Amino acid sequence: MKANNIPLLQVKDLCVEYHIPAGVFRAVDKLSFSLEKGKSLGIVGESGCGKTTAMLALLRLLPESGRIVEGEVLLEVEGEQKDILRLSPSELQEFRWNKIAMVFQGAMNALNPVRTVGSQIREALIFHNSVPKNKVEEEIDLLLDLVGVSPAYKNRYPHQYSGGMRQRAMIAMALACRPDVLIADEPTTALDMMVQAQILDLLKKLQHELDLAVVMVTHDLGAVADLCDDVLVMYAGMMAEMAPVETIFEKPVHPYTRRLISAFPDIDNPKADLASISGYPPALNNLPKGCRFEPRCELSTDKCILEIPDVIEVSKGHYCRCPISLSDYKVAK
Amino acid sequence: MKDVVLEVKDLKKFYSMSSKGISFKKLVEKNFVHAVDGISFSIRKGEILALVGESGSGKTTTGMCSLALNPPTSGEVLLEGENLVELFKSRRWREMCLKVQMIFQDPYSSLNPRHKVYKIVEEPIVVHKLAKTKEEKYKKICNALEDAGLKPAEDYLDRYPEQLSGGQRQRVAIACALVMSPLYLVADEPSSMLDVSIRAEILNLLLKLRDEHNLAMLYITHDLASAAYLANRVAVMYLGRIVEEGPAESLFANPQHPYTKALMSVVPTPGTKSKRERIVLKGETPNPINLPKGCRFQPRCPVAIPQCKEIDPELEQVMDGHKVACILNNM
Repeated sequence: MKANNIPLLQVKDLCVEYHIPAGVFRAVDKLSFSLEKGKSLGIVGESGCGKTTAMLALLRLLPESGRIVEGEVLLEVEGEQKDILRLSPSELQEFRWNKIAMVFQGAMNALNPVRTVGSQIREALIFHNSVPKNKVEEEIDLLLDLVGVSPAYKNRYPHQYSGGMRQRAMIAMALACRPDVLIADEPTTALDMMVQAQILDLLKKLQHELDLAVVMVTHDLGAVADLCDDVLVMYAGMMAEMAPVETIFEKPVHPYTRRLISAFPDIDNPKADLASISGYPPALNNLPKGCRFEPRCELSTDKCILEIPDVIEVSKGHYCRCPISLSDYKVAK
Repeated sequence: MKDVVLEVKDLKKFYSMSSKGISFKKLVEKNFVHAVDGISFSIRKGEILALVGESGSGKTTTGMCSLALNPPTSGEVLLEGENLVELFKSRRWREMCLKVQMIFQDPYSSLNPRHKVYKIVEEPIVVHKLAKTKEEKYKKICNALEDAGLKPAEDYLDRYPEQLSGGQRQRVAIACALVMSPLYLVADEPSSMLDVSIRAEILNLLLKLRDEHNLAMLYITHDLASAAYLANRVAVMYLGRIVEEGPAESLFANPQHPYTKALMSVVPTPGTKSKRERIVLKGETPNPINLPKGCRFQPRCPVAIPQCKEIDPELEQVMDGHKVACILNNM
C-alpha cells in the first residue's frame, strides 16, 4: 500500500515537438494528468491531436524526429516518484514493460507475421527475466488464458488468429511482466462491434483483477463511456477538458467536447440531428496564437484570438480550458 | 410495387474453395464459402436501406452482387424491372453503369493518387460521353463537386488526393458517383475510416443527396447507430442470411431476433445514463464453409432451444413490414 497520496502515474506539462524538414510541429503542448492505481483514464480526440505521440513520449519510444521539450513523467516506485524522462537507458529498460507497458495501435500489424504468437510472448518474458526459465512456458499459457485465448493456440502464427484474438494476444504480451500501468492505443478501432465489446470487457476485467491502471487512447467516445473512470479530451495537442466520465457526458463545458458528443450518433435517439464540427483542426506547425479551437468555435470572442485560455477548475476534478463556457455554464446552472 | 428501383430475389453467391475453379465432382455444398445464401430485398426511390452485420456476414458481397460487379451464383437482381446481370453482359452495359454507382470504404485508396481532382471526376464523363463541349464538362464536374459539399469547386480542381483530408477525399469519391446521376447508389462503410466529427458530415451529406436526387441507396455498415440515424429500413445480416428486416423505427425500438438484440446492446453510446444490459456474444462469426446445423446463429445464441438445431428458420412477418427469422417468434 502507498503510504501517502502520491499518484501512480503523474504527467506534468509534457511538451513534445517533431523536428522535420518541413518545420517544427508541436504535437503535445502542456499536457498534465495523473492516474491512481486501479483507475482508468480515457484520452479522446480527433486524429492528429497528439494522443498517440503523448503516449509514446511516456515510454520514451518517440521516433528520432520527436523531442520531449519539457515536462515530467513521474512514476511511483516504492513510495517515491521517479521521472521516466530523466532515467539512464539501462534504468529505463527496467521500467519499461515491468512498470508501464503498451498495447500498440493496429493489432493487425503489430505482431511479427513470421513468428508464432507464443514465441513473441516468450521473448518479452525472457528478455525481462520476469519468471524463472523453467516457468516460462507455464507463464505463457497463464497469460493467454488470462486474456481469453486458448493456450492451444500458442504455437500458431498471427495470420491464423482473428482480429479480436490478435488484439488479445497483444494485451497478453503487454501484461507479460505484470506492469502497473497499461497504455492501450486505440484497442478497439478496426474491430467488429461485438469483438469491441469483448475487448472492452476484457480490459475492464483485467483492470479489476490485476489492479491495473489503464490509459486508453481512442477517438471513440462510446468506448470511453464503457470503460473509463476519467476522460481527458485533447484538441490540437492541448487538453481541452478533463473530468470524471459522468461529468463529461452529462455536464460537458468546453465547446469542443459538446460538439464532439453531439457528433456521435446515439442509437437510443436515432433521429436527433448530428452536429458536425465544421472546418479542420489547425496545422501543428502554424498554430493560432490564441485558443486552438477558436477558428471552429461558435462562442469565440476577441479575447480567444489573442491568448491561450488558462485551465480552470469547474468543479472538483473537472478541468476545462475555456473561460466563456465557464460563465455560460454558471448561467445555465 | 411502384417506385421500386432495385429488387433482389433469392440472391446467392458461393465462392469455390478449390483454386482450379469449380469441378463437377466438387459440387458438394461443403466445398463452398456461402458468402451470401439466399437473400431478397427491394429498395424504393428516395429510400435508404441499411445492411448491418459483423465482418464476414456477407454485407459487402451483397452490395457488389446488387451492382453486378460480382456476378451472383444464382438469383435475380432487377433494376427497374430489368435483369442487371443480363444487362451487364449485353451491349447495353453502358446504360447500366449510368444507373448504378458505388462509394467505397477507404477514400485513401479509392482515388488515383497521380490524378488531380478534376481528372478523377472527369473520367466517368469522358468514358460515357456525357458532355459534348468542354464547357459542359467543366460545369458538370463543378456541379458534382458542389453537390458533394466541396464549395467552391474551383478551389479543389487542381489538387491531388494527398492534399485533401479524409473527409474531402470521400466527398470527391461521392462526386464521382454523382456525376453519372445514378438511380441506385451503394455506399460501403463510407464513414468508418473517418474521424467522428467528419463522420457526421458525410452522413448528413448522404441524407441530403437522398432527398435532392431521390436516390435509392444501400448503406452497408457495422455501425448500428449510424444506420439508425440514416436509414429508412434496416436489414440485419448474419452468415449470409438476413435475420431481421424492417422499418428503422420499428426495428430499433423493438428488435425481435436475438442477434439484433445482442448487436444493439453493445452499441457504444456517448453517455453513461442509459446503460442497457449488455449481451456480449462469445466468439466470432463462424466460418461460412461448414455452416452450423439448423439456425445459423444457434451456436452463439443466448436463448437457443433444442429445436434450433433442427429447424432452419425462414424470414416471417411479425409486424407491418417487420420480418424476423427465428423460431422463437412463432411460439
